[in-house]
Amino acid sequence: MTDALNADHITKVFGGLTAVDDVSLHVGEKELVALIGPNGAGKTTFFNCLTGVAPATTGTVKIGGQEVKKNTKAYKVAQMGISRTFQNIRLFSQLSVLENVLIALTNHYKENFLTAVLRLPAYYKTEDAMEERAKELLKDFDLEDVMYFPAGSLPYGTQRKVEIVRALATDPKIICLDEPAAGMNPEETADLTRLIKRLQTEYGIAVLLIEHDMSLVMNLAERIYVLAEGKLLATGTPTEIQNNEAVINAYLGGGADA
Amino acid sequence: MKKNWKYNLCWLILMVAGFYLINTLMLTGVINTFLENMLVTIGINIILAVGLNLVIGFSGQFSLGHAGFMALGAYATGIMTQTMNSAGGFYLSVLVGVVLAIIVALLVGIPTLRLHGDYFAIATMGAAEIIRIVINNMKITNGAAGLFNIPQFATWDVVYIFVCLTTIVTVNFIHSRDGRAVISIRENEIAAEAMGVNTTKWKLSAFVLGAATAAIAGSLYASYLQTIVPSSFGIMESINILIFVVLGGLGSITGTFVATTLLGVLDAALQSLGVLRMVFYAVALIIIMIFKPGGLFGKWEFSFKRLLTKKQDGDMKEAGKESK
Repeated sequence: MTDALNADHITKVFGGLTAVDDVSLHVGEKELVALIGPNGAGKTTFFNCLTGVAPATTGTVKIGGQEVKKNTKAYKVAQMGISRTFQNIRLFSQLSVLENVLIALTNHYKENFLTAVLRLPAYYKTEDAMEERAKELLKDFDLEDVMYFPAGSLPYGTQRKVEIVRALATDPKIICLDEPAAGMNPEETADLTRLIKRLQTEYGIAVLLIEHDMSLVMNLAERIYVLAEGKLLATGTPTEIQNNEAVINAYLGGGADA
Repeated sequence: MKKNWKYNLCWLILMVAGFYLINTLMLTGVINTFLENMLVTIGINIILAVGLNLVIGFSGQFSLGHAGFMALGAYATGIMTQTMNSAGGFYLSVLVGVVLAIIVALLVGIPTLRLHGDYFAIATMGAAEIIRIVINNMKITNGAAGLFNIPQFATWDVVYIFVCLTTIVTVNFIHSRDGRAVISIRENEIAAEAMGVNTTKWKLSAFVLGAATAAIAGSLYASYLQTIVPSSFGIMESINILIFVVLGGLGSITGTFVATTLLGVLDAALQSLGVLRMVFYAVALIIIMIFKPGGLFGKWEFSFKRLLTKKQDGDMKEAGKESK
């Protein structure tokens, strides 16, 4: 069984600042792992290293056992089987929900310039197949009512959902969710919890989750990694982390018990 | 698939009807030389503006070098048809212009498309200036004096057919898998990359397609006017095309058509006012930009499909009322 994601000794330096310092992390197949830490701990930077948006200074990343070579462009890393959502939602906001998902399907369907421009039968065949797949996914997540709405016009919670479905449409091995519950009410968070669980159980996809909502993390995660000031502070099961002295100190401040 | 034939047929009928309308008006003498000149200019500008809208409005790359690619087509035709004075020679020269534009667009695009916004605009503007200055200093192009007595093969009907062809190619490209990838770059480049969209490749393909259509427009321009000088392909021409695109709406081909036609007619109607017409022209631009900052049509597109299906929806609602 190959791990969905293997990150070995990742370090990211910005000028004189070491944002991520020698962090190693692995996510097994179909595993649900959370990455937590106080603000500015380097969680999002770590995500950017994994997805190739801001490649790591040193260290290696493997996706599904396949090593990501140095200077691989972000889109190539994505094609290797890692997909993500963003802390500040990045939907194609003027396009419809359906189009958002269709774009995520781009690399799974072949279409050449001539068949498209001349509208040959092959063009309609590909378009129909893509649309069918996209609608199937949207129906699965109860988004079919809004599929012709511009993505940017939807309520915040629905936009988050669309972003996750869009990430799912790229057919990844692992999905990285960057604070999916931020700005959600408890009801929406409960909905989200079920959705993330479904990614794992129904679609067999591994999930790496950054989140501040501890109830969500403790409910979902099988293992937790804690980052503080760029360094890996602790790792373990939710119960272990809840009772970890160092973690409590990091969250409450070093001098809390002094 | 079959359901789309109906809408494609509508477009075909519209194109043929337009052709016959102009043809009849021409034969009956309603359209005189002045009006024909206006129509051909509008046609050429539509080809240019649709191509530029693909680059700016759909892929979101702000190019200011469209006239440079137009010059390549114009000079390919100007030079080649002087020795090959036949319709075949003209179409061959159009092809050569297109190939030339594709090569130059690739050379310019590969290093510059990684630039964003204003930087890309300046780089493309520079590239277009290089093309113009090279033409200005070559013997074969007759330098700053330009070429004249270019044989006329681009009559109004040839221009009309090319307007239809280039628009069909562009619109079909936009509504394909590739087109969606191009639009996703405009919407959010980082998200597009995270979805595995090769942004450089699709930006480049939109840029190259835009350049190719500009070369076609250049060929038609040279062959219709029969005279070309390097100075007509400067930055002002690029900005002129940009005005059509922005006015019609970035990301609306319908808007490009309407804006180009409106400004073409306005320009011709105010011809008698001499220099003063530029004042009216400018005022019209300012008024539209104040009241419609997103362009006349924003991102709205005319669609037979929507028109016809809406009607059906309406019919069904009517039927529902009756049954009550």
